[in-house]
Amino acid sequence: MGRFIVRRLLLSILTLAIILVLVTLIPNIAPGDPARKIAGGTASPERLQAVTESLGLDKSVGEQLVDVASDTAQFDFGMSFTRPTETVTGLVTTSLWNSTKLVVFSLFLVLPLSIAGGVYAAYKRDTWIDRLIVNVGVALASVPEFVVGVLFLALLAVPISFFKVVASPPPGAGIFTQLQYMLLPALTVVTVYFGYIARITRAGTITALSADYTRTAFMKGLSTGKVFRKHVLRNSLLPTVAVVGTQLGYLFGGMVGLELIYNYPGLGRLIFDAVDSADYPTLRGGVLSVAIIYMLATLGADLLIAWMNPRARLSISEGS
Amino acid sequence: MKINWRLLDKVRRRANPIQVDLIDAYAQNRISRRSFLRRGVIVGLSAPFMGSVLAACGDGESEGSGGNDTGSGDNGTDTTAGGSGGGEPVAGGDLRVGIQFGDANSGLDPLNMLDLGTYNVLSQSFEYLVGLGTDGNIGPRGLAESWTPNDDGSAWTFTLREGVTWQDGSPLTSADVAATIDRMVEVGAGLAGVVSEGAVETPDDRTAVINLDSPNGNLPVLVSIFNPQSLVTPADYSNGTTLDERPEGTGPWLFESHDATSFTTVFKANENYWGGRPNLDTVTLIGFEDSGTRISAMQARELDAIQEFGAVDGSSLLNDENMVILSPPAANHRQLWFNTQVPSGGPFTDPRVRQAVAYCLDRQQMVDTLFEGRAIVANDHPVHPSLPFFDEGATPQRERDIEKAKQLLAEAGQEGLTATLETGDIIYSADMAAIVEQNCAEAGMNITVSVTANSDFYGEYWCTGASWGAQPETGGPGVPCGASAPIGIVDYGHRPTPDIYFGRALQTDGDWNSSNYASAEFDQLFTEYQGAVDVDGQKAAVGKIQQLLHDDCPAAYPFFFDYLGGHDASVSGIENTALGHMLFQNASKTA
Amino acid sequence: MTTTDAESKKVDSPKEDQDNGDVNLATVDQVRREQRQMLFRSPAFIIGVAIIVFWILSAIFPDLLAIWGEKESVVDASGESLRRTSPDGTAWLGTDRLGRDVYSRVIYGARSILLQAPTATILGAIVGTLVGMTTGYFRGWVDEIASRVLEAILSVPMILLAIVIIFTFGATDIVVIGVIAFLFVPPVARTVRAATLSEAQLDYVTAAKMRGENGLFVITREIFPNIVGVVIVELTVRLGYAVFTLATLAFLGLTSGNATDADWGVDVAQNYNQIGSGVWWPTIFPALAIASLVIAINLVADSIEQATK
Repeated sequence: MGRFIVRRLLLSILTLAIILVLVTLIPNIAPGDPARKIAGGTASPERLQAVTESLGLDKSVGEQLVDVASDTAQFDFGMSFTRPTETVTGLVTTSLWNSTKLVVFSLFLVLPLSIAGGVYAAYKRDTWIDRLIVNVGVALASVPEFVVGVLFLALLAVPISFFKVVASPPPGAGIFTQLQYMLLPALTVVTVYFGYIARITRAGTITALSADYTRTAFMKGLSTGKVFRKHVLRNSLLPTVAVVGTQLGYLFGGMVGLELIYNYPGLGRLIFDAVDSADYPTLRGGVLSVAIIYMLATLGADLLIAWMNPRARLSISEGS
Repeated sequence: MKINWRLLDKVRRRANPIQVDLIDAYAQNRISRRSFLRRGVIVGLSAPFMGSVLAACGDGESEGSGGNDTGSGDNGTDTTAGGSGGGEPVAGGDLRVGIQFGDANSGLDPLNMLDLGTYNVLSQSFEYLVGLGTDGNIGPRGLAESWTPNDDGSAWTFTLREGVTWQDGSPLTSADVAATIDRMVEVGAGLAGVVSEGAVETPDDRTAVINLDSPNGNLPVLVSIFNPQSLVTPADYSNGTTLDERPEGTGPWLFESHDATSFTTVFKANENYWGGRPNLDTVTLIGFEDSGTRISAMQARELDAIQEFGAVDGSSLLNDENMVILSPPAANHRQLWFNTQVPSGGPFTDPRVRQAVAYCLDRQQMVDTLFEGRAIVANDHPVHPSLPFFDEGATPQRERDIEKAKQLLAEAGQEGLTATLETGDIIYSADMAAIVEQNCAEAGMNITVSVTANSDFYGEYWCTGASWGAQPETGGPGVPCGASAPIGIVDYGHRPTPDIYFGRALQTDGDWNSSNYASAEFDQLFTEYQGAVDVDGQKAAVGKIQQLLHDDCPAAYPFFFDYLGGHDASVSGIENTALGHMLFQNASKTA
Repeated sequence: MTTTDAESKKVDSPKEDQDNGDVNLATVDQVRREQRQMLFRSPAFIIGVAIIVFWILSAIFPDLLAIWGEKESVVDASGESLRRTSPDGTAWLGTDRLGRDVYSRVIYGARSILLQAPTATILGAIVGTLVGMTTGYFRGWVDEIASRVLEAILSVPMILLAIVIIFTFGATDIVVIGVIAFLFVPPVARTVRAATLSEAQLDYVTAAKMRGENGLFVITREIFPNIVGVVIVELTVRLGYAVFTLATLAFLGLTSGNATDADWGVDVAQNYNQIGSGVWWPTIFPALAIASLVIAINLVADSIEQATK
């Protein structure tokens, strides 16, 4: 097990390095002059030169990569270009924290709902309940999240004061106030993800229900409830855990449309703004953090699966 | 008017030649009362003085705010149906205001800022030499108590207010003003060609004399709130310092904090403000990347006030009984520029083609569709009809004429021309582009519209800038604006006089001259206009400019639109400008 | 949204009658025929195809289905132009803020997404399948490196990478289609690789190798026919994501072509601010169009998956 984790971590670092290289290459491949974009059209030649230097664009690509590598190794991510008083670490940490709050809240809402839905659908397989849950899920998941967000905004936030248009609470607000402000974006995530997670859970439950060990349990005379709890659930949830693990990265960085609509200062928006204003250090930091989250989430998911399913544990210790 | 000559004579003797000319123009009925009042402020006449003139001319009404010749009345507290909610103003309170998201590239830099969001933020802590008056005009409410030109308008003397201090307690002196103007000249900021470095004399701490390169009848406007980059900063300030790096200012609000990712800035009341401590305790300005969310937030009353909103998207606010709409008089417009100097082959280098496009435009459709009627049709020049020197007779309003457009295109050999219209994504521009596309299609032109995020647009398709931008191969004037797309739409905020519209946008080598317009005739007329300190002179020059621009068409100006801002009815005392400023020193919430 | 191990595990279950020779072929044909019949009879498949066909027709022959022009201003009987009017006789789905007919724009809007989404998907699927089969069969250090790179791309949400790349290289047709194709390669490759891995362990592959067939032959002639089902399912799933992503990119303002052309995502982005004032139709109908296409693709994908089981 320990070897597995170490190996995964090493591989992750390799992957992150690849990402770093790709992101560093971008200002070099970009047509036009990113330095001029940042300095602005009215900047003097001296200021332009200063910005070019701080972007590292006056050096060769090789030198840039070396600089980035050494900086990253020392955890020095530099200052934001377009907001020179802010450190990249600071910006990313704030956005990351905001995104974390939203993701945790959303998962807290969607997981029980969709897992229960999926399990129940599998249990009542091929009945109208099953079809209803699946079809509603598919329908909801097919609507782009910005559409759902816009609808909630118009139908709930504007007329009802309990729902907030701007999802960022005033500073120093208590935890329940914060949850209240985050309610609509969280509900949007729930709407979009319910179907997907429910379906995966349903598939996993069906597989588990038809497995040998389940039939054996039933034959041994255990009640349905007990069978579910002791045997089915921990196996049916395996694919769900895998999926949530993979999707976590998306939840952290991919909700750009939502964050724009609800004016929520999350990681997706940070990255979007960074790209928009050619703020490459912040872009690097943001993309890196999303990738790290993905790595950790998938690692966590795999470990969780191993813990839940002894067979998987076996294949893990043999090396993936 | 029944003139009391003796009184009038007494008054005239107290005025300098430029002011006398204005008084005479009014007395001889050559300009309206409103024009007199507007121009009077600019040339430094005080309110009581103007009152005496009015009285001497038998115009007995009370002094001050302009009449209602055209457009809305005073400085924008134009209430809608509900009006201000009844209730006593309470002391203290916090205000939440939704504003445009600031351009990340400039940051909170008073000299290099370009967007309305940042204008709003910086003008809370810093102040202008010349402040906001009434009727979208300037007024003696800024750091200068009064000002006066010399006899020919080549030097303007500003008397600073007493008791103004910086945040560290040191007093405001003329040295600060001189340093600010020097810094402005260094980067241009609308003073290029008007003032040179080191041209400000400071005979004493309270007096600043600005010596101009040549006479200019509108200088006070160029150092007023309507030239947003002219905020007065301390003498030891340096170009490029931002407000969050060094919180400073003479204004009613002290900078507390700024969060760059959400463009949210918090200000608290300045106890030592020369105008008295503001009523409210704090003001929080919240940036919105998405104007629709800004509107929704206002609708849901998560905001107390909103800086600007579009007429169509914000129709819910316009129809809201509990909203007070602030719509200051505005010469805001969108300029449809044509690059007149694109390398050979560019269709718009031919004035006939430019005129053809101008004839295609359905201006009334734009007024109705984009602004729900809250705009006026314009005649392809940036002179607002409410200005005192606007020449009504100069040229007739251009009407839509598709046949003529086709004819012009045929003459120029450009039937069925194709072009890509570049525009930013600021309010109204993209929709205007869609209408232009449709309008021009009727004359057989194929216009493709390309919309770019505003933060990328400037400097990419509009004025790529000085020596490092792509230069037109003709080697013609491109510096310092640089190259621009052959046809595009750019936004212009309100200015009370068209100096900026002429000087920066149309003069040869103007740094906002996306048309790369290089007309010696225009430059000459512009100089005449600037130098004309008398009413007739200005009108004559402007009349000729109107005609030249109308015929030559370096850009089409289809409309001037109303700027829309607002606040909840439970708030009162907010003033705004059509350039994004919002003044909160007299604001308060009612119970 | 990426495919999961659960879905690839479905491919693991070994097919029963793989060992026999000629009898095998006949059975396979029969199986295929039955699958097809089942497919054509499933309601999900029919509905899905119907919707897709409708949109394809809209894309190819918009003039037939649309009533007004793509950018035309709607005028009522008396010649007065209508703007922001709710659905009624003149404009079935209402008019938008510039006075254009929402229904017609929805019809015209099908073209851009139906051109870009399938192109990007097929491109991505082809490359992804090649990469997946190669790495799955040959393994070795090529596989290791490729997997690292693919995983690097997978670890960042697709929309973010798309935003970064499009911003950098400009929003043209080639870039937009290319980006999505490129970003589809890793998930497709991963699924195909897993499928190839399990196929490669089966006897018929060993048999082929012992016959002396080279790698390319084995991949294309032996393995590929057996994983075609997986590839097709991946293709259809990816198609749904392509539509989704293109719509989101349009919403964020990253589209190619003329900004005033009808495009569902762009129309949603430009009109949703008016929902607050009660003008919901210019936003909802394009949004429903997007949803209907994605649902239709999902229905077809599901039914194919069911049929090939």
